[in-house]
Amino acid sequence: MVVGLAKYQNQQEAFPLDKKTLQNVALRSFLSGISFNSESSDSIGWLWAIQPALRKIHSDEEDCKLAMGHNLEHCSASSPLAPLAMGVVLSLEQQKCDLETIRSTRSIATYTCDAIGKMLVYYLFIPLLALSIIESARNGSIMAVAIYCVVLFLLQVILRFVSIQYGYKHGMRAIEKLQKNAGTLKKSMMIAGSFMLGAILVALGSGYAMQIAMSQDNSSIPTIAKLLPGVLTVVMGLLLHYLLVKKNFSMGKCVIVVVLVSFIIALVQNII
Amino acid sequence: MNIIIFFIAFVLAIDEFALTQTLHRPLIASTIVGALFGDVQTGLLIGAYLELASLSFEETFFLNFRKSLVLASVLCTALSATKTLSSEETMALAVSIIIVGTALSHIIDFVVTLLLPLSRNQAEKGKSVFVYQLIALLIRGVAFGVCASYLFSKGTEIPALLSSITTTNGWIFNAFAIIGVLLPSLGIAVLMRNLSVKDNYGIFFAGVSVAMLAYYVSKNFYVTILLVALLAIGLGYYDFNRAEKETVKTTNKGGGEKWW
Repeated sequence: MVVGLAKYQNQQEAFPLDKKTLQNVALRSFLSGISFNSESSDSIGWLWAIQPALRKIHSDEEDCKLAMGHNLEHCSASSPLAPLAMGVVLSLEQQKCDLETIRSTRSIATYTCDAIGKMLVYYLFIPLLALSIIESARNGSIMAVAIYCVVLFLLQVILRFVSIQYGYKHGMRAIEKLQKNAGTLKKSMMIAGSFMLGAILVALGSGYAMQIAMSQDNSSIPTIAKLLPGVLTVVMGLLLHYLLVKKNFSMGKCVIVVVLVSFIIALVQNII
Repeated sequence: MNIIIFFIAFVLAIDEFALTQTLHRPLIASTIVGALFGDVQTGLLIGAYLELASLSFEETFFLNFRKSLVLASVLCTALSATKTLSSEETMALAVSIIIVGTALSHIIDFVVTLLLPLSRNQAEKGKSVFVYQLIALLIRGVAFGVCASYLFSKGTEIPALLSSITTTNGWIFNAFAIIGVLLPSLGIAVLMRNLSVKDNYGIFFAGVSVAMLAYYVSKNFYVTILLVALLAIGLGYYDFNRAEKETVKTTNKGGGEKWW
């Protein structure tokens, strides 16, 4: 199994990545959201985007496989600011940090960038831009729509190409200072990562109430989902963790458990 | 006509997650469909309606969790532009089509999950996962293309068809939506195992409680995530500094400091 608790064999710091490789990663990030899946979110796209950089960083074949394996774990990479997280993670990979440090940083960085990127684009720029051109569009102005399209696309391009350079540069600077106490850093990042994982479970579960509301009948939302959003995903996360660690369940078996539970919940809701 | 619908839905469904991530916006998508069917004005009108509606959906219809407006943009504009249904009728159908489009998106998300074991095998061998990116892209594009052209071919029967789909098969859509919400728990459970969360259960549950509180107050996924991420960074920073200070103290006691 590639993913796990192994360490990089070659602990020596790699050569810094050149601008061209980082731009290649930023370009690939445009396609990182296409393989979105329910289990690991954008992990396939994330790995595909940073693959050229990982190959440059890890000259050791086994280390490269290990890096590719752990970068297939759950992460979110569909926002226009995802390259910022990619830059930070690549700076950690370049410094050959512990896998636990990289995992925790990736979980925090990807979700933070996702939240900031989407709030910036979808809650700020799009409403502002849409409201300012919508009247012209109603009056039949194609030019207004073209401007809307070009501005949104340019915004994405700028955010992606600038943020990867920024993330990598500042990630390198920070990690060079912090890496002196690698053991302490690993412990602190594991604490931050554990905190974040609990929170992500709740936040993802909060979508449960929203999904049920898709039936356009808000009264059908169970009270427990209203009071404790995400309680179901937390319970499910702990159950799956138990099955993986204690019962040595395979991923396939875990997927079957989730599918069965989901269909049972949907059926019960349908009957009620 | 059906081929045009298939092609445009194929491209826009992919654009929703990749490429420009701009063309799928209702205003742009509807204008393109309107232009293809020779009625830009209708495209602009329906696009403006859906764009405004999508902004208000964020708060009112609770559809902001991975909602997909591609199917609605393509079908509403095509049906109006070809005079199959009036603009008012298509706009009334918009929410039902968004529900079907979102459900389809959830089904695709689940199907793409099945590519993960194959991607893991590729990663173990150190090979590129590009093939699976391509397969995922084709699955998404073809599924939306087929669904859009099928619904479009039904013409005036669409309202009845949508109604029967959402009422009789609603529970199946709901099941896939719940899978879409519960399956990420598996991804997180794997991370929990690999990060040895069992040694930090206290911190894990602190994260759970803070996120519940933040979500209860903000009612927004992104605000919750942002608040909690900042807290997590702060927590890590505090622990790192505290541990460093303790190390310095210990070193000084046993080292050069003259305690006498």
